[in-house]
Amino acid sequence: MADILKSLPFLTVEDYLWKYSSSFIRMMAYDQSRIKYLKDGDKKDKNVARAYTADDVLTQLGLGGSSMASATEKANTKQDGEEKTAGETFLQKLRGNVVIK
Amino acid sequence: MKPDTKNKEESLLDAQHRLAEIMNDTPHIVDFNGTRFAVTRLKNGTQALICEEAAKITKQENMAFGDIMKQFAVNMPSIAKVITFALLNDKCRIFNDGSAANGYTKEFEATYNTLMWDVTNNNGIIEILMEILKMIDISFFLTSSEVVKTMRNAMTKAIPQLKS
Repeated sequence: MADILKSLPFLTVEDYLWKYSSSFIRMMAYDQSRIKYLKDGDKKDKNVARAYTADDVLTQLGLGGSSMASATEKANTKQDGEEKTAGETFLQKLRGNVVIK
Repeated sequence: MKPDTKNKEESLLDAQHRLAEIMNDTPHIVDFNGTRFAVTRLKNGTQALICEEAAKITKQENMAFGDIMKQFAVNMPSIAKVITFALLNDKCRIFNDGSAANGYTKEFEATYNTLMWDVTNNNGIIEILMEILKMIDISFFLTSSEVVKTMRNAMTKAIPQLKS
């Protein structure tokens, strides 16, 4: 709460507790200054990369969504005793932290 | 359009719809025991009241979330109180004159008593809880950012390991 009130000085404790919903405040707290919004013409441009899911983002980063998915599946099916590669452990960690809708 | 792309665009539209709902604080209508409630997203004050109620019924320190839920499951008055807080979700509707010192409002007492004594279908309580939890979830909006953040963390942690 203190961090939010410091970063948004116009917000009172009363507003924080009872005026805005928790999800609204979490959205406000999230830094979106780096986002560049596309203009109407750019939205229709086929060269603009579109990412709908976490896999799409990984593909855009050049890490290959489908190949990573199969590697993660392989890592998940390994038994506890079997040794996992560093990449497999990383992918498992990555998948565990991300909620894909 | 490929079906896969169509599904993705539909999920994107759903995310945009939910985002608009959060920004406008749009209520969801929930049917419960023959009464229709307009449920809005939990305010931080309401969450604090719910946490206070959870703290009252926890018997030990360092209890896991599952243990707290078990305590709730066997404590109907606490469940009724938590649901009432979530349904009303406004200081002036919960406390007389908006102050905890003045006690609960008649609306609060009436809703609480209905939940405690008049509910015939307990499944409705779970549905309301699920609806409330779903409404405060914003992970759908942050998926891409979380992926990038996790990648960044993993990459920066990997460098010292390689040197050693």
